Amino acid sequence: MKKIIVLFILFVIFSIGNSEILNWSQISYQAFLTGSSDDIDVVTSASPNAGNAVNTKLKSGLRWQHEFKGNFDHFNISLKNDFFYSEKRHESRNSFLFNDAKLKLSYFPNSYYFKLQYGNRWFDEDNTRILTIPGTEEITKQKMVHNTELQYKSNWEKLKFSFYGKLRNLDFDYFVFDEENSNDEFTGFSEWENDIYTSAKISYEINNLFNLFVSGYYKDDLNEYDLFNHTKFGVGLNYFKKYDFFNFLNANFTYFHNDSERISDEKTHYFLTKMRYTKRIGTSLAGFVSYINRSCYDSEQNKLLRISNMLRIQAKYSYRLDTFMDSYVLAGIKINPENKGSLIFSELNQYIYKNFFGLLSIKYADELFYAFSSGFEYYLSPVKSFWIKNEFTDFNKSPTHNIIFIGSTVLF
Amino acid sequence: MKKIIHLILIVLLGIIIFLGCEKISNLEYNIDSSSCNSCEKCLQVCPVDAIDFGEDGKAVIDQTKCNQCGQCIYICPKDAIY
Repeated sequence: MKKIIVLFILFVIFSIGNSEILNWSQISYQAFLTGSSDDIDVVTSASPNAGNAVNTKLKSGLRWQHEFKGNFDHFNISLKNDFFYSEKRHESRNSFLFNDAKLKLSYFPNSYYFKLQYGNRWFDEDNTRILTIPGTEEITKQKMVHNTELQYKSNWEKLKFSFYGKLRNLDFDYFVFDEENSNDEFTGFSEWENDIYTSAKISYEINNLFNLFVSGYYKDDLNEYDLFNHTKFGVGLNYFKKYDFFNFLNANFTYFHNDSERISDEKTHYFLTKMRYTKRIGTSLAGFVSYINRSCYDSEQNKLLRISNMLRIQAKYSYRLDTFMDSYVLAGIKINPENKGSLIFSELNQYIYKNFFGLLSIKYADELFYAFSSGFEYYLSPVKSFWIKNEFTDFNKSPTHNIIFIGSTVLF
Repeated sequence: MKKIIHLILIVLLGIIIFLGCEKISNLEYNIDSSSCNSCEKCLQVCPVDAIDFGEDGKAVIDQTKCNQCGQCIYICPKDAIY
């Protein structure tokens, strides 16, 4: 036992000698300026019908994100925490008070990569909305989610192998209507839902441009329903051409065979085509063109059906005006006709004067929403900043909202 | 020149599929993993617990649970959902 402790101490001392540690923290206070009429009800008792909309006009919110990262030679540790509270029910969020924590350990010598991760997400019952599970139509409220993940990747010359497994435990309450008393009362019961996700992929490098791969995915709903079980097998070809360090073309085609009660038969034979071309001109201008097509073959009708097409073109021009960071202007377009998700967007980050930056962002999706945000950021040093932002969104189907964020970001 | 030909061929293939094929009866939303920044905002708004995170830490829509409500499209800061 003593030997192990001595070896461990030596390992830690040796590792610290070659270590790199990063800490960052971001705290933001949010003030909501919208009227109270667009608050979304949050169930606060065992009855899913009981709403508790708060009716004052000025509401507050707080978010604190923190991450610690340590690199010790081939070993990496990361601890992330995200705390969120909002007095205003401004979006269709599931919870307005939650904490999300993740611990990740990874080990990566030259030929393989191993990762172990545990994540925990806690929801406050009084600030969490009810959800309905599709298929069962159960009324539920999440209390806590545990995710335990394991990942392994290895390379043998032209052959690559990866495996991923995840166990997900969801602690939730479900509510059942009391028919005997028929006085509109629901009774709550506590329940665990356990799901296991596994996937594996083997790829073979045919030459320096093409890779052939086969993959498998299996999800098992370990509870009694078996409704959400899903098995998927894939085979595909990947093309990757690197013209130089910044310019490359990546394209791949995959055929999937789907098997699940919850996925329609017409999607059993599923085709995915992806292409992305990235181009940089000089040190200032960079952009990409990305295209994704999803189609399926309906064997009953003997027809090829299209699921979605997405074309995205984006360019970013960076110009150095300051000692801290680049100012930039970004613009792009996304075309997605099947899901009515087409939009244009633009973003500007402009150095103004003595460590002051101005931010402007516009998004316009004709059939979905219009969003505008602006803000100022003041850098005390390259790693410490204070900022104030205003975000206005006009949704076509949901209430408009206007939020002011005041925050600070610190790297140490 | 070859790059441009590759690009045109792939886009043409897409246009052929777009024009030549019937659209599927149900909507299906997916996430462009190259644009996703893993902010988890979609997870926070999904009303049916259909957002999962894959091995690369990027969001994935679980098609066995998704009810096509489109809430995740509005919230995504990177417009990665299509």
